Amino acid sequence: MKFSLFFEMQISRPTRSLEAKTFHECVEQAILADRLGYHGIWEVEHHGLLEYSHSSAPEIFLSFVAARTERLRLGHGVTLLPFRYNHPIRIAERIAALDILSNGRVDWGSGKSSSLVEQHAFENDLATLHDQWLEAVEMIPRMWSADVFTHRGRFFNIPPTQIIPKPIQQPHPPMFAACSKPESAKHVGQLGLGALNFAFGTDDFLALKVRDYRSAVGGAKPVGRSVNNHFACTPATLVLEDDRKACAYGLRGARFFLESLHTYYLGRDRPVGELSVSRDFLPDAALEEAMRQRNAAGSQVANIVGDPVCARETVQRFVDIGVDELILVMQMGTVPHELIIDSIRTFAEKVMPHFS
Amino acid sequence: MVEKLGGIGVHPIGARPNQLILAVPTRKNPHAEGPGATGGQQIPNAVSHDDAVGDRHAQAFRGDDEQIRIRFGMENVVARDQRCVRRRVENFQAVAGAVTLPTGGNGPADPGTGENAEQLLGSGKRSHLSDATQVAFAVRLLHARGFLGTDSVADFARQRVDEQTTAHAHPAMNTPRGQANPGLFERLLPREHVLIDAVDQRPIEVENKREVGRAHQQQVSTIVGRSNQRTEYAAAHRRFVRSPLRPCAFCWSATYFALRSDRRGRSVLKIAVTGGSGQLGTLLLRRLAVDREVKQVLSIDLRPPMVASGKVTHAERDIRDPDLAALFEGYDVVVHLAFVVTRYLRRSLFDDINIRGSENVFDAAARAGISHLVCASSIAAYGVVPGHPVPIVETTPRRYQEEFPYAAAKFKVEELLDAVENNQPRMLVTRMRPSILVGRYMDHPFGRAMRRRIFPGRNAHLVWDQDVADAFALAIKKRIAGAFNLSADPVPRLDEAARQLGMRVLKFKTRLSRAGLLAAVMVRQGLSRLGVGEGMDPAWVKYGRVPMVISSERARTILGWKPICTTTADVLRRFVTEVPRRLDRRIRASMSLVRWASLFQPQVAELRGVAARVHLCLTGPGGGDYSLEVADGRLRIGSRPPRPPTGVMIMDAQLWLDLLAGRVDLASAQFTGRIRVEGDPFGGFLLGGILAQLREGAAAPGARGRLARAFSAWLAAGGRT
Repeated sequence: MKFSLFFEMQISRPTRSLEAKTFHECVEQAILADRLGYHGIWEVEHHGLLEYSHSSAPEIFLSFVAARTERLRLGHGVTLLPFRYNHPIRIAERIAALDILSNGRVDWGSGKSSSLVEQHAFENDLATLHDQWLEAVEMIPRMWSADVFTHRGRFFNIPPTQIIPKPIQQPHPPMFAACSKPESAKHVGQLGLGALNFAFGTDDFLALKVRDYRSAVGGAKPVGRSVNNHFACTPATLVLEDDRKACAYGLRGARFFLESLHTYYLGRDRPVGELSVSRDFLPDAALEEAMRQRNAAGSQVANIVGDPVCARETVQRFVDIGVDELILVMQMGTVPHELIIDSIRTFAEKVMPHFS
Repeated sequence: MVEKLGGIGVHPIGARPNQLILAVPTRKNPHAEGPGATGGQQIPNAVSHDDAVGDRHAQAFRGDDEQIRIRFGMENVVARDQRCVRRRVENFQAVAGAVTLPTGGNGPADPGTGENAEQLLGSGKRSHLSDATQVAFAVRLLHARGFLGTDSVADFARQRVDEQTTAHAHPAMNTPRGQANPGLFERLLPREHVLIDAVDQRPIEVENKREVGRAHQQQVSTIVGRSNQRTEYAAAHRRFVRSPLRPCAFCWSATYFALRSDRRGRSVLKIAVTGGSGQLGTLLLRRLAVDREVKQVLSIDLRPPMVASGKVTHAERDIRDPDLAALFEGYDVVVHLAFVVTRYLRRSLFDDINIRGSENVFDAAARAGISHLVCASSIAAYGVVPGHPVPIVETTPRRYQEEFPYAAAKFKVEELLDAVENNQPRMLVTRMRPSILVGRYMDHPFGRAMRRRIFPGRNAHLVWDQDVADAFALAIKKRIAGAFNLSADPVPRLDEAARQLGMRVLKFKTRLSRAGLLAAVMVRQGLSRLGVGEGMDPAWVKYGRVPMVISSERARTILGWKPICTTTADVLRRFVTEVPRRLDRRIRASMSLVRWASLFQPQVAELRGVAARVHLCLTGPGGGDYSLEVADGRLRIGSRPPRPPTGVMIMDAQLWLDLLAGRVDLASAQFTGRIRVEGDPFGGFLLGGILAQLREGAAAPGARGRLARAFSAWLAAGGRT
């Protein structure tokens, strides 16, 4: 089982200085992860989602971290492929450049965005988003392998061009794609891509999803030059020695995460200003009930919060399900930086060794 | 004294004061039994403490006659201690009852453990470990040496943990928190790493007893201690370590966990259920789906199930299908629930489906080599006739009641089960005899009357359907065969209890009223014979009046059945509080609004390519069922649960009102388990979307916003009544 960190750059009630501070704190967290032996970090790309994610230039962050780390894998979770966000050639070039400068440590995930806020900000044609993604995800690996690239498709008509530089990893950095809807893991598997899975459910449901993915990957027609059989999940995480404290802060953060996600992803509007989501701790009775429910039979396997003992149990559930990588979302809004650092340390010392 | 422990001769050879010596033979011992007994791992000679009277430790050492001896020391032979000794012997009996000797001469499972334990035990020094620690050591030593199988020891240790966490011996578990969560111990302790006295982590030179005690306590408090529970458990444990006689729950837990790590993630049972889409089947499927030891559940029914789970698959077959054996291939358990109960059918068709169908299922199970058959019989199998003894127990002779088709069919099915038991000695056969199942999804006229809060004053033979599903699950997990009555205990004035709960009681006291009821039922039956609608079999009305007193004691003692509703009054009470009568009007209004709005929505980009059928199950007063179906990029709201659903969301109706009002957020409702999710959690996104859009509507400007805010205010006024 591999353990990585997820960076959304969530900030509750951001001010300019707080925002800047958060960027530096995230760098610090990533460097600590490198020191402690985490597998990698994953950085998202969102635009205009105030409070939910301030990470709109992931390539800058990843380059900055690459320069100051040695072994950490640098993952894009994800880059947005519809051309109004990023032209595919620019993505191919940036990924290759980062791959060179980081000595072959890039993992490349792609997606098409889900929030109306960013979709409308870039004036996307909503009906063709999926097709744009599909065309780009087929083009980009060819740009890395072909000396002279040319493409004629629905959205692009590119004359013969030499796309440089080329990435170091052969045949190219491992490719992933975001899956959040039902059945999307299967589609992603059919294309031979790794699955970055953002929603869970119960153990048996996730296990079924993994099984479906594995069988899809088994018969894959890959869009890249290699098949990446890899299933990753992103649980909200906070692991501290003090069980109750970890649950209090962790569940508050997870709730902030979920609520702001719902606001941006499920509403019809494009909210402006601070979100009207709860930022308080859960009341005592609810907190205790939630603590009891963590690994109860039939509970959803979504949050790894608590002390190392409980965390091990939840991680074990993921292991039993057959997940390859857990991308831990520790950096959640309302969780203080000191606790995140503490959690990164505690997890590395008390939980990771049991699953190596 | 014990003579045989599961095929291995055990001889009490000790006759010293205060000491009990059990000998478990090794391979070289000619008295060893069992094929392929390959023990043979010798424990080096340890110094025995012949003069260790008063020193309590368990030693495993090799005696002269090639036997491994385990000696338990005791301080004084007093009555209390004798019980203790007896318990230890029983402990070993229980373990050895499932002893498996390893074949092929496998090495010790955990040499580290064996060595260190031996070092301590053989060190010749005094050790002051608690009783259970000693037994735990001995057991683990035997396991490490391959004399005891992993499964048997793990099971045994698990039982000890259960016993100790529910017994009075552990004061911490008598706290409300402890009692509310018997799995607390299990959750507290690490799965893969052994909490035990420092010995297992490193060899320890025991100079004085304090060292061991302190190291043990330190381990306990770091692993067990939690901010609120630290003091309780640590204190409880300290009391145990000091107490001479009380077993230490943590050490057994340690043994359990050390061995359970071998079984991690290994789910074992594959279960086929006929009639899985019915009232009882749905509950049983739901229960089995969340059990980690169940690998797969196959539901065989004419309609798809109402349960969504990665483990549940569905085969649309009639139980008279000749190919059932092929379906059952590879399964461990067959649960036969499929039966026509109240619906009126021509007698020949009724018997064909029920009797010949059941026979077909049993045949298929036998041909496919099923190891456990569980069948739903009924108290009607005794014959709904007067003259039964009071109470009716499982051995009461059954009477054939020809004129009541349902009872006659159940009688015949029980005869078929008797034949199966005779012809298939290796198949476990369990038969459950419940009375009338009361619950949320009762698909017959009695159930429909109950939902309208009308109680036909006679039926006293009731049982809560969830309790019956629990009993089935117990029998399956524990692999227990036999017959079990499942009925709630009757109360003298059930009609009074019903009236107090606000139900209307129809007594049908006069012959005229009874005749009228019968006539009404027969009219419906007649219509159904002509092909118009479905009618109830009038025999239920004619023969339902006979009082029968059923005893469910056997289920309680042998299965460990703990029904939520122990008396029929409890059943009615639970029914009234849990089963909704009528959908809350605010909920109905809000869902109608969503339904109306979604009709005018264009295709939603996020829903493109998504196919989902979510069952929103609202429980409690004001509840009901909704289906949220996504197809062609659109959301459609329906009022019947989808079959099969891709996901199920179960929550209290009042919680849905709180969510609509914004008093509770969806995230914490999920974290605290107030919303149960089955299958695809995409339903959570749909609900979140509905809530988000209602909120946005309220924030809109102009008249639309004002209207939306007024509506929201009205919604918010709901609930909490």
